[in-house]
Order: sequence, then C-alpha cells, then structure tokens
Amino acid sequence: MKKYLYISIFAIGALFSSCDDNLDKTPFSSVGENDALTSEIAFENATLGLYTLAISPSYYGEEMMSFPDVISDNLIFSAEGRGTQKAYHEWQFNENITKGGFMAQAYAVVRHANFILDNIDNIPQTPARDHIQAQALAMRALSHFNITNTFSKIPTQDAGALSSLGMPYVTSSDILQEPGSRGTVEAIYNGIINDLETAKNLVGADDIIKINKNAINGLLSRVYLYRGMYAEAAAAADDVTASVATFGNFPGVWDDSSDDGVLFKLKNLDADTGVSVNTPYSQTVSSGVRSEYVVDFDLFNLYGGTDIRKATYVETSAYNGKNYNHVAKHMESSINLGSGVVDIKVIRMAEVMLNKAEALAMPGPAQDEAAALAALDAVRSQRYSSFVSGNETGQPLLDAIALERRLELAFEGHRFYDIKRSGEGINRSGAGQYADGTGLATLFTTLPAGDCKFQLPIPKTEMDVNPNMEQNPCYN
Amino acid sequence: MKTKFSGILTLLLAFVVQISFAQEKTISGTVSDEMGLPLPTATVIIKGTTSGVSTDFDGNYTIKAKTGDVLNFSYVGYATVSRTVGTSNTINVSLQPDNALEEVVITALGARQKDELTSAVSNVSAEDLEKIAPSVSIDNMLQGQAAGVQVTAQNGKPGQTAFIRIRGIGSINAGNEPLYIVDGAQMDESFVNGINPSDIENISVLKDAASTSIYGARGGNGVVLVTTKRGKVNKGAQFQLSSRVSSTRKIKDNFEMMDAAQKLQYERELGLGTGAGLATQADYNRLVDRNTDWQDELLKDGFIQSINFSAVGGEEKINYFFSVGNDEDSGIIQDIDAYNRTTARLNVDYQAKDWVKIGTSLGFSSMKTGDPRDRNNAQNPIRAMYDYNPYETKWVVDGDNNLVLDANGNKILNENLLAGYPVTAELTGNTTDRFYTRIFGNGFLDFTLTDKLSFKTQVSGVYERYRRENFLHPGSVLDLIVNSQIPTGSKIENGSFDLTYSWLNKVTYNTDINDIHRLQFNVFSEYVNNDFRSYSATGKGFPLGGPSTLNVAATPDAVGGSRSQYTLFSLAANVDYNYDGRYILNATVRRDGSSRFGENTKYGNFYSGSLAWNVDNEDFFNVDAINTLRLRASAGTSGNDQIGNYSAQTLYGFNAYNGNNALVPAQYGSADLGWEQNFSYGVGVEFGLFENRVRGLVDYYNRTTSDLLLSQRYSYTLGGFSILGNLGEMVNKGLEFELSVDILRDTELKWSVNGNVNLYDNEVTKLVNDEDLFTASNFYTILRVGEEVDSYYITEYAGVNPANGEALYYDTEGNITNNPNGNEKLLSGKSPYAKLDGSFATNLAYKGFDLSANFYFKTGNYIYNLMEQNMLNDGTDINSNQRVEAFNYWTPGTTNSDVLPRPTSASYSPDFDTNTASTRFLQKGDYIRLRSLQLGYNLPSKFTDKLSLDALRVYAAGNNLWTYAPHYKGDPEVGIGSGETQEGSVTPGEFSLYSYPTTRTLSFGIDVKF
Repeated sequence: MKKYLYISIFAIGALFSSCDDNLDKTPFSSVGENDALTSEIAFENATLGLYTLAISPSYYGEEMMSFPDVISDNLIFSAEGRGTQKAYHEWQFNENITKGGFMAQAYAVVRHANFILDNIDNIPQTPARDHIQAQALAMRALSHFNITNTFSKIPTQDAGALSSLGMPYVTSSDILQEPGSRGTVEAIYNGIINDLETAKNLVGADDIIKINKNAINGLLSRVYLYRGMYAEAAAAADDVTASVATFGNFPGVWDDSSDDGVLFKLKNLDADTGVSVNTPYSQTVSSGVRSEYVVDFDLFNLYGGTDIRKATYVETSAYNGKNYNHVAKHMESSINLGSGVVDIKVIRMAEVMLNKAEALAMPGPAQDEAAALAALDAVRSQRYSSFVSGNETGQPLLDAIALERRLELAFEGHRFYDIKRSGEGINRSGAGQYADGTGLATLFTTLPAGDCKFQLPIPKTEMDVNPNMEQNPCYN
Repeated sequence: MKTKFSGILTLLLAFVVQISFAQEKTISGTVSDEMGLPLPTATVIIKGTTSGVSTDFDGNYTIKAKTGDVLNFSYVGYATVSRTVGTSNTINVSLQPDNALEEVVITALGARQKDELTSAVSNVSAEDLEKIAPSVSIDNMLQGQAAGVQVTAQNGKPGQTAFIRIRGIGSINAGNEPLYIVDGAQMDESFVNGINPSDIENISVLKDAASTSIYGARGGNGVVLVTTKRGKVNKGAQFQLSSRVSSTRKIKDNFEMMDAAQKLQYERELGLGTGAGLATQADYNRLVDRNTDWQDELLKDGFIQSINFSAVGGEEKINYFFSVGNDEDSGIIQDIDAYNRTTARLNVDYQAKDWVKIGTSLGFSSMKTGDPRDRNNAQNPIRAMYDYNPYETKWVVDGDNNLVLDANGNKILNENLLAGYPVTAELTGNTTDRFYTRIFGNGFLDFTLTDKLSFKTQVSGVYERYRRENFLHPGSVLDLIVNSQIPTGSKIENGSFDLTYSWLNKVTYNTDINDIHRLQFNVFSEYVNNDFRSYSATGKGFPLGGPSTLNVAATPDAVGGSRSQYTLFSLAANVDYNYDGRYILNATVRRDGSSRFGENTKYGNFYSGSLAWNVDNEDFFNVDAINTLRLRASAGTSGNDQIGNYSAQTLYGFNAYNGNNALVPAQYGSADLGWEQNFSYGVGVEFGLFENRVRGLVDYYNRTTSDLLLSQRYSYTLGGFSILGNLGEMVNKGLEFELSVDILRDTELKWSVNGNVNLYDNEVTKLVNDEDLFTASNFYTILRVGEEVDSYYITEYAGVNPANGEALYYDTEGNITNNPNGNEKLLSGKSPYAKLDGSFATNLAYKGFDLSANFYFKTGNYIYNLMEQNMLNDGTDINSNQRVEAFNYWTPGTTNSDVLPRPTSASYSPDFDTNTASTRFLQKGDYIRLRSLQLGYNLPSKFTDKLSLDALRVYAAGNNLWTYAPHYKGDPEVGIGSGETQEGSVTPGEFSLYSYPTTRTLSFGIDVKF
C-alpha cells in the first residue's frame, strides 16, 4: 500500500511541478526595456544607436540628403530613371504623397534620445554621462529642426511664421503618452535652441563621427540663422574651431579619404549600416550611370571651370547613348565596396562660414560686411584654382553668399530650406535632362513665393492616429 | 491462451447448465462469418440469463435450451443475431459484420465510443487512410475526409504539407493551422510530413470548443490528434511488407499555349518581337521548324517508390509495433531529385506490474528535398516553361536546326533566350537542398492505483534539425553574371535546431453508481518548453568542379544566428457524466500560463460545457426505422497563442556603428498582449436509419474569434512604431453534413456511398479603428469590417470598348473609364475561400475485389489568375509565349464584344496599361476532382494459406485522374501562389503564380502480411 502512497505523492507533485519563473522568458538577440540601460557602456551603445537610426534610408541615409534638392531647383527629372520621387518633384503633395517615412524616422531618433535622457539617472553623473546626455540632446534638437522646417514654416520665411503651426516638441519616451499638438514654430525653435545650448555645456570628447562641440556650435549657427537671430548665428560660428576643407583635400571629403572641414558626419560602413546614399540620385549598371535625377542645367553652368566642385559633384557620362550630368557627390567611397555607401556629412565648416557670412551680411544690428566677406572668401578661396575676391558689398554680397551656398551645399539636403527661409519661390531652369540642357523639360518650373506647398502635408497615417494633429492649410 | 480459457469456460458453463435445468434439449450448430468461415470463440447466450457457451475452433457450439428460449449469437465486430429455439436441434448462424458498430473515437482524454461523445469530432481510421490515394503527408490525406475540415495542398511539390482550416478562418496575423498532437505531444504543423502515414492508427479532428478547450490557449484553430499504431496483447507477431511504385505527371492544362508558327504569327500581327523582324521565308521556316514544347523540355515524368516494413504483435505483458519505410519521389522537374524520406518507428508497451504499464513511442525521420526556385521569374522552371518561346531551343542549334555539340560531344545549353536567363542553368548551377532530421518520442508510466483511479505521466520530445544548402556552382551562368564573368561560386548553409519537450501528468478517476450514473474525472497538468536556434554561414570562392563544403571557401562572407524560447504551463480538469447511456454531460476548465503573453495577461482561463442526448436509448423512443438518434450541443472557449515568442515585450536590439555595438529599439510591445480568443457554440444531430444502413449527421457551428492580433499604429511623433494588440473580431459559421449509405450490405456484392458537405461563411466584425486592413499576406485582397475576410480588392473590368478596343473599367463611382488607376474596390462576397466544399466516395466490394472512388469538390471561391495575366499580356511583353486565345483581340471593325483589348503593338500604344490587375483575371475557383480511384484485390485465404501468408493485397490506384473546373484556367487547387513572393504568410488560394504544379499519379502496390 505504501507504494500507492508514494505514487500518489509523486502524482500530486508532478501535477503542480512547474513554477512561474519558467514563464518569464527574455529574448536572446535583444534586451527588454528595463534591462537596456543599466550601465555606462549600455548608454554608450544606445547613443551610437542614435546615429544608426539617423542613417536609416528614410532619414539621413537617403531622404534627408535628396528630397530638399528634388523638390527645389537643383535637379532635373530623368526619364531613364525609375521615376522615384517624381510626384514630389512635381509638387503633387497630398496626405498620401508626403514625407511620412522621414517624419516617422526623425521622430524615432527623438524617441530614442528621450529614452536615453529619461533613464540617464540610472548611472551616476560623470563627464562621460554628460557627453552622452549632450549627444542625445543635440540629436533630439537636430531631428526636431529637420521636421519643423519640412512641415512648418521657417521663422524668417514670412512675417507670421513664428506664430504659425509648428510641430510637437517631444521630450518623453513614454510610448503611451498622449500624442502632442503642433504648437507654434517659435515654441519648437525655442526647444531646439534650448537643447543645443544645454548640450554645448555638457559635450565632451571631440570625435567627428559623433556629436561634438564643433558640431553643436555649427548646428547652432544654422539654427540661429534660420531663426533670424544673426548675432547669435555669427557668435556660434565663431565658437567653431575648425577650418574649411582645402582645395586639395576637398575631393577626398566625398570619398571619405579626407575629413578636412567636416564637423560631424554619420559613419556609414558596409558591414554596419551599408546604406547607399546615392540611391535617390542614380544607380550604376553595366551600361552606365542610370540617374533618377540629373544636375539642373543652370546649376551646372554656375560651376565655373576653375571650380573644384564641378568635377567633384558632377559626372558627365553617357547612358543609353545620351550624355547626362549625373550627381557624383555620393557615388564613390574609398572605404566601402558598396556603391554609394559613403559617410553622411551632417555639417561642414564651409556651411558654418557661409552661415556666418550670411548672418553678418544681413542688414541689422549685427551687420558687418567686411567680416561677412572674409567668411565668404574663406570658403571661396578653397574652391577655385585661381581665386580673387569679388569684394562685394550690399546686395551683391548677399547674392554672392547665396550663390556660394547653393554651389557648396548642392545635393546635401539644403536647397529647399534655403529657398524657403528666404521667402522666395522655386524657379527651375526648364532645361531638359541631357548634358547639354536639351531633352524633355519639366512642366513644373515654378512654385511661387508664399505658396502653401512650401509646408509639406501632415501624412494621413499621422492624422488618423493623432487626434491632436492639425493639417496644414492647402491640404484640407 | 484465450482459446484455452474459452474452452474451460465452455465446459464450466455446460456443466452449470446441465445441472440446473431438467427439461432442456441440446442445441448445436455452427457460427460462421459473412464469408462462411467458422468463427471461433463466438458467444451464444440464452437471452435473459447468464447461461452461455463459446464456439470452438471450428465455430461449433452445443448448448442446452428450452423450446421458446431466444439464443443470442454475438461476436466482436459483428451484429448480434437472435434465434428462437424451435423444434430443430440444429441452429446454424451466419454473422454479418456490424457496420454500425459504435466507432471508437480518440479524444484528448482517450478513446471514447461515439455515443459517449458530446462534441464534434471527425475520425479517420487506418482503414480509411488506406482507401485514400497514397501521399507521403497525412495532412494532404485528410482532404474531403471530414466535414468542416478544409484541406488545400500547399502546392504539388513532393513531400509538401497542406493548409488545413478547421471550421473557417480563425485568425488574421496569428496562425490558422490547427494544433497537431501526435501521441500526446504537440508538434509543429511543418513537421507532420515527417510521419509515415502507414504508421498511423487513427486521426481525430477536434472541431468545437467542447473538444478543444482542453488544449486551452492552443486549441482555437481546432486540433488534429494523431495516434500511431501499437501492438495488441496476446496477438502473435505479424509482419507486413508494403511496396508501391507510382508514376506522376503534371496535370494537363485546360488551355493551350501557342506553338512556334502561332507565336510568330502573333508577333507579326502586332509588328513586335522576333516575328516582326523576320526577313526571309527561310528564317521563318527555320523558327517554325523548331517548335519546342517547353513543358517537355523542362518537365519529366516523375517516379515514386515507396516501401514499408512493419512488425506488430504482443504477448501477455508486452506489445510492440515496429516499422521502417522509405519514400522516394523524383518530382516532375528535370535535373532535380525532389524528395527522399526514411522513417522508422518503435512503439512498445510493457505491463511491468499489474498496476503499472511502461511504454514508449519513438519515431525517426530523415528527409531530403531538392527544390526549384518558387519565384516569379525565369529562375523558376514553371514560369520558364510558359514564358519561353516555342521557336527557341533549349540547346544550341545551327542554321539547319541541328544540334551543335561541344568538343566532348555534349549538347550546349542555349543561354540566349529572349526571356533572359536559361532556367536549366539555374536547376543545374544554383542548387538548393534541404535536409530534415526529426525525432519524435515519448515515454510514459501508467499507474493503475485502484480499479477506479489511475495516473499517467508522460515525457515527450520533438526534435528537428534542419539544414539548407544553397550552392551557386562556380562557372555557372548566374555565377558569371553576379561575379563579373569570373568563376567564383558561393555557398550558403543555414539551418536550425528546434526542440520541444513536454511533460504531461494525468489523474483519472472513474466511478459509477449502480452502473446508471457513470462518472469520469480527469485532472492534468502540462508543461511545454520550446527552444529554437538557427544559424547561417556563407562562403565565397570555390574550385571549379571541386568540393563545396564551407571549409573549401576562399573567403568567409557572412554569418548569422538566433535563438528563442517559450514555455507553457497548464492545469486542466474535466468531468464526464453519463446517465444510463442516455444523457451525457461534459465540462472542462483549463488554465494556461504562457511566456508569450504580456506581463498583465500571463494566465488565461478556458472552459467548455457540452451535452448529448442519446434519444435512441430512451424507453419511450420506439421508431423501428431509426436505430440511432442523438442530439448534441456545446459551447466553450479556446485560444490561439501563435503570437510570436516575445511579441508582448518592448525590446532593444543591436546593430553596429563604426564597428561598435549600437543599441536601437527592436520592437514595441504591450504588457496586455494576450492570445486570440475563440468562443464557439454548436449543435448537432446524428442519426442511423434502417438498421443503421443510413447514417449521418448535421452540425451547425458559430465561432467568434475576438481579440484578434492586429498591429496598431501610434503617432509618428511618438517614434513611428506599431504595437500588437488584441484588437479585431471575426465570426465564422457553417453547416456540416455527413451521410453514408450501405446500399448493399448483406450480399456478396457490397456497395456503400458516403459524402460530406460543408457550408461556410465568414465576416470580419471589428478591426483597428475599423479601418481597411492590408496584412503582409494580402496581395489582391483586403480586410474590411462587414465583409468576408480577405475579400478581393481590385479594379472591376468593364470589357472592351467596341469603338476603339480599349480596356474599360468601372471607377469607384460605377462610371466607365479607360483609366484603371486608383479604382480598386472591395468585391463583396468574393474571397479565396470556398462557400461550400465537400467530398463523396463510393466503395464496392465483391469477393476479394474492392473498388473505391473519392471525389472532392469546392465552389464559391475566387482565384486571381496572375498566370493568365501573363499568358494574355496584350502585347506588353512580346517575348513571352502566349495562350492561343491571345489571337482573339479587338481589331478595327470588330463588333463582337467578347474579345481581348487591343494589344500594344508597333502601331498602337494604349493610354493606360491594358494588362493591369482587374477582375478580368479574377476567376471562380469551382472544381470537382476525382481525387482517388483504387481497385484492390485480396487473395482468398485458401491461396494465402498455401503460401503461408496471412493476407496479400494488390491494388492499382490513381490520383487526380479527372478534374472539372468550368471557370478557372489552370489547376484549380491553388494553395501557395508563389513560394518566395509569399514567404512567411500566405492567404491560401489568393492567386496563382507558377508554384509547383499538381500532379496526377498512377500507382501499383502490393501489401503482404505474414
């Protein structure tokens, strides 16, 4: 009879043998949110994550480095391409044709920065922690800056811009928080400036593939310029301790064999992110370079024969028997095998000098035309094989700065914002896609100044899930 | 032993009878079976007494009885016969097999008589499986076997499994496949083809919540219970050798492709392509002369060889079943050996003590498949054979169409096909083999504590090792393309290790009160643990014609690997109450805890209740024509836990920045994420008429799946993510009918027919924000509230404009337009799912011969015929071959409206793509198919005895011999459209796109028992 007892005890034991612990399973290839940020190393890794998120094709990897040029006047649609972004080039914006993926990914960087900032007290305050915090703040500011300039007005665009619809400035990583409303352009700019100024005081070691002090000051000069705070823009530029890439080093900046003049770039390696920055522009196939967009014929002619940028930015070659002016800026890497896998130059010293030049050339209390010209010449002297200063003043000086800015920053995601913030319209040359300006001209040559399409529509997918979101005029 | 025991019993009984009654007389006679053969140990009992005898070895009996006594003659498996004792002293009886013998059904709690069941369970026995045309995978064999169980072959690839949908579509994003339980242990549906069908004793399909709620969070899609064969106590060893050979061939198309002359003619009419450019009659003649039939060039007749050996038997304390088998199927694609599987099994039970039984079931399977690419381009031989032009040749030919040979006298592959890449180069130079090694095993102890109380503990393991090898041969055509004409070669090896083990403990208590109230209690616990690992490694650079292990590779290329786990712990209780065989009540509760569910939803409770009323067992019920009448009703819940192992968690993963680890969000999850919930209820009636010659059932079910797993998008401003939640709801309902009739039963010629029909309807009742939903498996379909799941969402075709030949469409307002863009609309009532399906079968037997035929049919489903869109492409791709109907296009002056649109040609380019996706290519999928036809012959015992055999059966069988599909052009049994396009998630039958074709099979087999 005893054995029945034993069996019974065994049976009862067996029936209730499992304990709850076995039901808590954590994955092997990833970590849970509560275990993600528990050490300084983990924070370092998470900070690097900000950069890989930014390299995503829907953000800096492709979109940010192409669509501001596609929707402005630097590019001509090539019928030989795959037709990518054509509706954008033709300003056919609506709730479904807008940069939703870009918005989502830029806010994903914001969210990840907030995740770091919300948990920063998990580790004790050290200079290393300050540096992490500075990177998160700066990347949060940069993303908000890119978002608001795309979907809202830029402060200097028109008189009412500052009080017009902004975008939510998000400072919490809580995924269940009530999504924000748009606020004003002024509010989001305040948030951006505040974050960058805070970051400036926390930032540590200099490393151009991460946010660093020069990068923050450089970005501040851009932000203040867009904000119309010219004295601050010039001062921030002055705080940058770097020089413009030299004439000799300049081509190497684009195949990543030189870092001269680069303040901050996203390191893009085959084995890591492997994003082809060149994809929105062209792909190289056996029969040649097949471009989506080619260099606008007017812009092409603006590059003089002595301009180092002509050969660096443009490749004139045949595809299917026709010559095209292909965008060559992102084509070649000295490091990666993948075609178009190049580092993404987020801010360079040349831009900072042009920010400064513009800030000081603008009429107003901060105006200092001599210093502006000096800043402009700091760029120009390194771009032309034989350079003699034009010694411009007044409007010609402003025009010279704008021209140089267009030439220098073409195909780097600036042009649309530069036109937009000046309050001007987009005027395309109307030339054809071939190298000599012949071919099929676009029917869409002019987006007049003040057109509401300068503010891209809020995506329908966002309108559907965010009851607090308000659509831009133009798209209701 | 039994005979001896019976003999003693007979003597004893005879003695007892003799001394008890005085005025009795002695009755004697012979009891025989339906063939006239004597039945030993049959029982003869005087009705109303316990007096009785058994027949001896020759079927003879002797019994004392009074005139007017009624003698009952009975034998297991035969209908009892009653005879009244009259004047004669001899009563010879011939017993007939009892077809109405209550079927034994396997349920989660063990074997049950059918009249003890309260739930909807379909049962398929080993004998049923034998009648079905042979297949290597049991899920395919279930097609048409049970009402409410829709089985669609994934495709025709040898060894391929099937899509099984039990009582409709239960889920959108979680799986729709049922839970497979093999000998008590859970098994992934993709492993089912590792089980040798000839090892199977019984398959039960549990369809309603009353029977599935005992599987709790896993039972929501129904349960397929597979029981393998075991030996029987005290039955001497019997060996069986079965061998079968088959020839397979692609089912003939119900359309015709153009031949060389036709294709050239078509091209000339359009002024496009090769035909338009022909300069001379000689050139034309040369091309016409080639007239290649690409199906002949790329396909072959397949050959299947199957051999199985088994031994089954038992002694007093031990019984066993052993089998070993091999199946080989060449498949129908040239240059590839499709399938080879070896299986072995050993099931043993040992009665170690009178109170404990020890047993094990061990199965092993090793399988290799060679796969063609299943994608939508010319790397896929099925696409290639329809695309390639009949005026082109597989091998290089000269100006006189004579073969050109290389220096070694071999034919040279023609690499300059208009469609591009030659598929033969793919089949020979870019090879993929898959290897699966699987072990299924369990061991158990079964304690009989008292005659009422028992306890069983079982540990089971299911292990799969999978390996895939893809070798791009150095110097092959593709290798030269991707490596800039330098022979390189690359090899990918990837695979996985998948182990599930489970521990099941069950206590059963049986009791009864006066044999009227019978009660059974079951309490059990189950722990399941799954661990999955995968790896991949790629190497580049291999010697020409040399070995291809990764060690040989000149450079390593890429590595990868992953691991995941899940666990489940459950407690369940079940009570079964049977009142006098008239009323049966069953109730189940189960509590599941799963590692997959969110922090707040770790545990779930499931329940069901069901009852049955055996009206025929009531005293008041006295209708002679009705032998069986029972009513059933059930309601209950079950779940679907196929939600991904960590879906409920917010996770951070790793990528790299400048060679360092970077932490990024990998997934956002909700702690509230739970299983999908099924609530179903149903009623059924079962009946048997005219001595159970007519048997049938009708079932109605209503199944609501709530908490459907859907992805909810969150505001971009929060980071642009989605979180899985339990957000949708869907209702499935249907009616099931089964009927079988023994038309001729007690005669030498026996004839029975049976069939089943399933009527089915589905409605999506809730989605996230009630927005239309496209999932990864929706290509031409959509989900919309109020509509059937996966309803087609495409532009409606309005025919051809007789004025100019343009293709016309309806826009979303119903106006006719020539611009198809943006006019997609939901087509109410048109989905890939059949509204009605079923099967019917007939069995004839005469002496040793038997003939069975099985038809399957379905109707009401639609298939988007993407292959037809390519085969009637309106001149948009002149280089691919077309169906002959392509000639029937609009030309100026055409008044007939039944034509194809005016094709793109040298002189005409339509404003919009005429060949765009629209209802023009959406076709009804109705079909009926002779799924199997089998003629068998069992050698009579007088011959087998001479050969010292127990039995010998030979048969010839045909599979898919005849199909009638009035609307659909192509083979109407569409599962996967295109394997590589639909990777991961398939809406079965949504579209057809060159997946492996269905085959028709002719087989000849022999089974010997000795």
